[in-house]
Amino acid sequence: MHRDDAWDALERARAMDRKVRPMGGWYAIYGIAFGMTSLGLLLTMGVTNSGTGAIIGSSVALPMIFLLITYANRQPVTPRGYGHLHLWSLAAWTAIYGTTIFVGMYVFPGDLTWWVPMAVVSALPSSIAGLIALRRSRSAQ
Amino acid sequence: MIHPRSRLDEVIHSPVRFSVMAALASADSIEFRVLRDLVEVSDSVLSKQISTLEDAGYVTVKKFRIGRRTRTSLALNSQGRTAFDQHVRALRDIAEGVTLPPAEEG
Repeated sequence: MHRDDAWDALERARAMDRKVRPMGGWYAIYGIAFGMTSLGLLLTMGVTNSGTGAIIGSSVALPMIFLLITYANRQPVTPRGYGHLHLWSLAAWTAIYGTTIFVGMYVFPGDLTWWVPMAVVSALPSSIAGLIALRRSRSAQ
Repeated sequence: MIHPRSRLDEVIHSPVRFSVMAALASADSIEFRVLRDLVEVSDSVLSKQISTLEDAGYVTVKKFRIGRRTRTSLALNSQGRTAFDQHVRALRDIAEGVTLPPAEEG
């Protein structure tokens, strides 16, 4: 193999990288939409402070989450580092969501100074993961 | 002195397999139909090249169902990523005209 052939091969690899990476950008939509769903659900629960509010919030959030999972499963390209990113964001969200519900129900029922900030915080893990995936999808090797 | 061409991986060296490896190296996994379009080859050509890469232990093939359709997902495993990285390093060395001293014995 000559030097020119090697440069050509490297350029082909770079061109392929430029084509493939943007195909993983869908995870940004997934992550941000998941975050907004969590925000809406916790706000509804906090503001209404009732079982009815929880039922109404869940009746919107659960189909939304189902739609997002279906959307993710139908994507033909999973972005580089997806496994760790998704696991990290899901673990962080579960911890924040569980803490918000548990502490909020027993210590801050109906207290918006607890529910509003925590609803915003619950939206962060998946949104940050989505933005990281978006940045990776735009940066070539 | 050792020319870096001796470090090129013969399995990856073929143009189609190199493109397949480059595509898979840029993602965690890619569906067969998308990879076929990216590499611009027919289904049968891609199947054959994937089999070669699978036999070499570089690519993992998974089949799954979405609704009534069966999809095939392809991914580089850790051995495949290492092999591709080493191949690219050898290409860079060739491109830059680097030669290495022979490895010491013993």
